[in-house]
Amino acid sequence: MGDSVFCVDDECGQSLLEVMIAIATGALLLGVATVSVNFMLRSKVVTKHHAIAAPLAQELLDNVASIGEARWLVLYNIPIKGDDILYYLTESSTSFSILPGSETIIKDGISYVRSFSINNVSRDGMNNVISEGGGGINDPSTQKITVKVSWTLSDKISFITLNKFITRWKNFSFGQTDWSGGGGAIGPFRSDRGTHRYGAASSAIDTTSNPGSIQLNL
Amino acid sequence: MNKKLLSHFIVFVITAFIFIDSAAFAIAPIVNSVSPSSGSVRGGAQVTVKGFNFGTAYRKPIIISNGGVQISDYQLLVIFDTAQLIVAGKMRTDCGDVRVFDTDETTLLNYWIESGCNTALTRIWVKVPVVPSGFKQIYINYGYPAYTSLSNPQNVFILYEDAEVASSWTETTLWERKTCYANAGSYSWGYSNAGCADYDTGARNFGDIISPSFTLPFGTSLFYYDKSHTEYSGFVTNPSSDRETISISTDGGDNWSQISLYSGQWNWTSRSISLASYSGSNVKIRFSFDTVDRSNNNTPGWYADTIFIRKTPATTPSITLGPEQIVPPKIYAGGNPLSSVFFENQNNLTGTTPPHSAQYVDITVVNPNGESGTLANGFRYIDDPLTVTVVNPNFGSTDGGTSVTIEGSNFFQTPTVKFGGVYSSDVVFVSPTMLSAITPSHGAGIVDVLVENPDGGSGLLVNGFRYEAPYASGTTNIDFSNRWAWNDVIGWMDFYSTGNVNVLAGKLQGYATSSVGYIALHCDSSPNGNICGSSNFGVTNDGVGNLSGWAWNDEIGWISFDCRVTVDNCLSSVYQVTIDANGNFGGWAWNDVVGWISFGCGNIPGSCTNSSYKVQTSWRPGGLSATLESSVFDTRTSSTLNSIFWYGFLPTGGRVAFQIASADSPTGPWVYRGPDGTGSTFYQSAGSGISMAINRSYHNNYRYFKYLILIASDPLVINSPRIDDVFINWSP
Repeated sequence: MGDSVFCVDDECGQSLLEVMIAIATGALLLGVATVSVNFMLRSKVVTKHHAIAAPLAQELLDNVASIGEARWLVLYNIPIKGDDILYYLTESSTSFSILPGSETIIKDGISYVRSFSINNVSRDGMNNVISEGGGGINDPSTQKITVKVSWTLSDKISFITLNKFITRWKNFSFGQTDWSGGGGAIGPFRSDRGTHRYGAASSAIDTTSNPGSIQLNL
Repeated sequence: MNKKLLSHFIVFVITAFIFIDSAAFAIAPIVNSVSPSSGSVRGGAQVTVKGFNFGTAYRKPIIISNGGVQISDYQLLVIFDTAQLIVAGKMRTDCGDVRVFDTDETTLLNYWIESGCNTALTRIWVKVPVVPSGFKQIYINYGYPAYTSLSNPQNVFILYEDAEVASSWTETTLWERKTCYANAGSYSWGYSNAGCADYDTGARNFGDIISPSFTLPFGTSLFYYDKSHTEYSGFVTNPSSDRETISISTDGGDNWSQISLYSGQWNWTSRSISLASYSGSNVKIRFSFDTVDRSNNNTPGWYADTIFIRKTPATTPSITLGPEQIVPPKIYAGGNPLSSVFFENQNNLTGTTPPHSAQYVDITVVNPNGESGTLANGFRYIDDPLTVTVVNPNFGSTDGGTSVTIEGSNFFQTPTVKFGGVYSSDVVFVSPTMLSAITPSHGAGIVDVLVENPDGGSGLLVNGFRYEAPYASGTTNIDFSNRWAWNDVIGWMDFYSTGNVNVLAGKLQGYATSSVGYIALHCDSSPNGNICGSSNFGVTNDGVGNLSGWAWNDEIGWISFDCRVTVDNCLSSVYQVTIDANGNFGGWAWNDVVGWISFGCGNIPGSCTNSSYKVQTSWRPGGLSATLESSVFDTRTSSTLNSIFWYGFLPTGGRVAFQIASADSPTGPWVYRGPDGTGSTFYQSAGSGISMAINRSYHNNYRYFKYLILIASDPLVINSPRIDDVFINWSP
């Protein structure tokens, strides 16, 4: 026994006050523990749904990006864009189709609603991407894709979103290295084949003295 | 307690009054002011209209997704919840204020409310003129309490018959419009005796109803509801059963092809028959009933209702209803609608003025319910003078076909352009300060260029364009009107008519004409070709407009352009022919036979009032520049242009610059643009091999492109840039 033990008539024990403090402390610790366990369990549930939703979102983002890479104009020419205009993909054996609205995917008994939206973007004077309408110049070769996956659990809606800027990266070079064939050739000529002629030129243009080059006739 | 009840009653009465007042008695808007109160006749002024009682209606966008080919005049079924809107007081209880608009938000589309008004599943058929492959957006509007319904199936379907009113369908024997049964409304077509108890006449009987003639478009089906209380037995196994057939005729009713043979369901049942194999034919539809025999004809008969034909494409478009939007009132300035109208609140509207002639105009606000208010003379249109300042290029062939840009101010959207009084065939509005046009054919000479706006305003550029006759031998840079030199003995010398005289930075080329024959200006371009091997002569140019050397004429011999080249070496007379900063020749040349040759009336003070003449060239001293336009190139898809660069040589003080034009058609219109989208700027790098980003905003999703190269020498016109290669990067 230590000095702090309370004794009366050689019988030692805890005072009522000590017992009440002990009970209160115990209750408090138990409450904290319960909350912590509950939180951990809940976190585990939330983490589980996020773990399901995240790859669903990434899958759609990758598929939309692949459309942009394969057929840029299909994405770019969608007539209505904006955060609130939602689309989803349907997949055939050979390609994706874009449809307005959302799709519902059921995993482990939970319905995940998946969609994406498209926004135009602009660039400032330093070529940095800025939101459309925020000034700058519209960049028709960049689109912002936002994928959203939401699910409802106990009347609470949760969601995750993923953003990606995709660019019209596929490109070709047209080159003309000879104009010696003379003017008056309006065309059109295929840009991948070109021509050695041109449409019109001032009289001071010399395309023949140095074949393959243009210079002034001084 | 009584006081509490009384207060509740008062609140109820006030609330009821407000509801009744707003719902049943439309309040006309009042327009108090417009700010700013004046603006350009070209329109485009952003104005705020203030007043009271500005009202709104509502709409929902309908996004149509079509995975198939384009469909014309398609009957689109829209199902949406009108009950919710009616409860919210946004729609009439009879759905009579529903309106459907095309993508332009203006064109009313025909529709028919089939069923379900004031339910969650209201069925509305809309006739959409064009449903393209991909997406299309139309609008369904509501919230107009004073409107009445425009729902009409006759305007929607290719054929519609519901027996509700007498129509041009014909009937025989027992067929008639009956009220005994109806799928919808009060009537249906029925084959039975009066009272609808049976179709027994004591003998075999039969009859038809036949539609009027009509033409079937591509890919349609016949839909109808029927109810068959007839001799129920399989006609296939029992040929004596009643026969209910539907047939089609493509020859006006002489011959019929059976498209359906049926014997009955006792309840109203929806049926459809494909008519795809009759696309493009003028047809009639026939419903026929035949008892075959006199037995078992004592049941109520056969009834058909809600008969219609609509398009049934292989891929049915789907729809998505967008979120509800507010439809603002319409604002009119002088009777013309403002654009971009925005409803801020019931006291404030904003909008953009349309073009109008210069005058005061009334500003009228029309609420969606049709109520309107007007502020008399609420806005003043002020004239903007139309000016024409530049035509580039300012010369071209008498055959026409030259693509020019016209710069000025206050151009309207659809102006006309005349070159020497002849209309240009192809005018394109680029901006209020720029047009592009193709010149019409015209006789040689200098003409005025006139631009006229639709409102009658016009601007004239005097001597704005020079028509030149095409010459097989080349082109000249001598001005058509200012091409004359004078000698008192042989008269006029014409430096233009041969079409081959050119002032270059180092020399003159070609030959002029005179009463004594050609005057050769350089041995390399004489009337006999290049004769420099046998006689090396020519008029030289030091690059800043000082001419020197000799010209030659077979009759009068050498013509000196500079006293310093003569034996006399300016001792007895100082003279020289020069070219000033405006390209005007001046000074004197000398010939030993005919004497002085004057290159401009300005040589003798005061003489221009009697005879104004000179030789003028488009060449300018102090540097030489020229342009080359490429051919048209086809990327074979909608593309965006990314960058441009060139390889070659750029001398100190020289310049190589580019402009780009892009278009959807190989014939243009072609408008060359620099980085700022105008023809005033160029893509110019510091030298060879340096890539320049093209402003994609102006070259996005066009299939065809051209480029224009501007090459300028150094100021002393000694060295020229040299371009070996031009590369343009583009993305499909």
